Amino acid sequence: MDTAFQTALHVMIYGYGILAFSSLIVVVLIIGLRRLLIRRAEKGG
Amino acid sequence: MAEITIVSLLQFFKGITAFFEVDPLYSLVRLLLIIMGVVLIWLGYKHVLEPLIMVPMGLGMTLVNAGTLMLPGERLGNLFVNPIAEEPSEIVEALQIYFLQPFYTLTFTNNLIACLIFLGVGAMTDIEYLIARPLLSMALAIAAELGTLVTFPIAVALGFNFKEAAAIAIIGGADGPMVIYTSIMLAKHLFVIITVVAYLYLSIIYMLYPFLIKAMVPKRLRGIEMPPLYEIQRITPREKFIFTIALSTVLCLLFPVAAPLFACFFLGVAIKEINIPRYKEVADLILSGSTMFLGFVLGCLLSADVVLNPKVSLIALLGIIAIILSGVGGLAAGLLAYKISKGRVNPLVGVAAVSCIPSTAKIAQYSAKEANPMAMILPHAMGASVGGVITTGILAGFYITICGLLG
Repeated sequence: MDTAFQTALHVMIYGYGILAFSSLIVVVLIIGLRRLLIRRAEKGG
Repeated sequence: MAEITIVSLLQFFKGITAFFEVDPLYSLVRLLLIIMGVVLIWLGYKHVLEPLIMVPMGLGMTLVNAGTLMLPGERLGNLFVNPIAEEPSEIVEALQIYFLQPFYTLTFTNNLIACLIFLGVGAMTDIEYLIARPLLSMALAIAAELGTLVTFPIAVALGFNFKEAAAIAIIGGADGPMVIYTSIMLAKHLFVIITVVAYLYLSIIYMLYPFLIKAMVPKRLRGIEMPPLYEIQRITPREKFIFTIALSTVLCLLFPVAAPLFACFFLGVAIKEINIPRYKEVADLILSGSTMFLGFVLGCLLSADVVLNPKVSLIALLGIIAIILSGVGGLAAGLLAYKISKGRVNPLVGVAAVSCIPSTAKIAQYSAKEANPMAMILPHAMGASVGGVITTGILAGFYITICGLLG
């Protein structure tokens, strides 16, 4: 297989990995921050 | 004597004489671009294509090709803009000759135009929907980047280098400002063609995706009703503001190369959430003004020599592949979400994850309503759409970084 194409395929797979990881960070941030805010609101009365 | 008079008279009409002073193929393309520009104006005027961008673009295309003349040094050109001026002395000279040069030099070459449009888009985006259902929205958005990722190796196989391939692949994200930003960063020599192709496809997304939806999703699934978001979670304006600051900070931390885009998008979102009417008016004005000038300058950059680039047809082909694959990816993930949620998620939310905000969300809602007039999926679709903006930004950052490493 052509080396450039092979590299491009690797880039595509890396891309999926980076995308999934970054999206997971976004999801964890949203859920975590939201729980924190809800807890603070409950403490505040 | 009469002949000399006619020839002398013709010299006054330099746009017409320029047709006969160069290669006939060039003149033919010039004529075709004038006609194509008129067609775009008409389709925009009739609202078949997005008028905000297509009318100024078509007008620019028509006028720049009509207003072509022989410049000193026996070269064909116009008095609109000179995109090939790169050396400081050339730019200074161009600024004094071409009337759009200040706008092009100060807003296109440094990506300010993409950032300004993103600011305006942010100001009309509500991130409430993303915060309410982050997992579903982001999962669908990842799947809807299928075209953005798969088109990259296809473009490389067709002979484009890594930077060009990445700039073309980002069309799959269906996000105009992202395409401008990435193509200027990675393949400046192809930026006009890539951006025009992207905006043309974004304009026909209203016609294209409904076919895709009908082909992939049965009617009974299209009409599934989803609960209103307030039944799931209620988000306060204070929470939305805090999320805006936190999200933008984290995304800029992860991808500094795409930070200008994230910064402007979330500045727009913050303007919306801070709820100062004067700020909102400024953001609206920036969006309208930037979109109009973007369309006009892009049209003015579309001269015959740009279109005669042999790569144009390949870019057009790859662009449509990217857009279709992203739609397929989003819908496939929507169908999977429907299965996993045991029928509580309408699969059409998946197509909204192709970020073209808010067009794809509107298409999803329209198709759902067509199948079931009671179906209201727009809030959920908007969540997926905002997720799509974020994932496209992430991929823009990824491509710019990795292409820098690959050289």
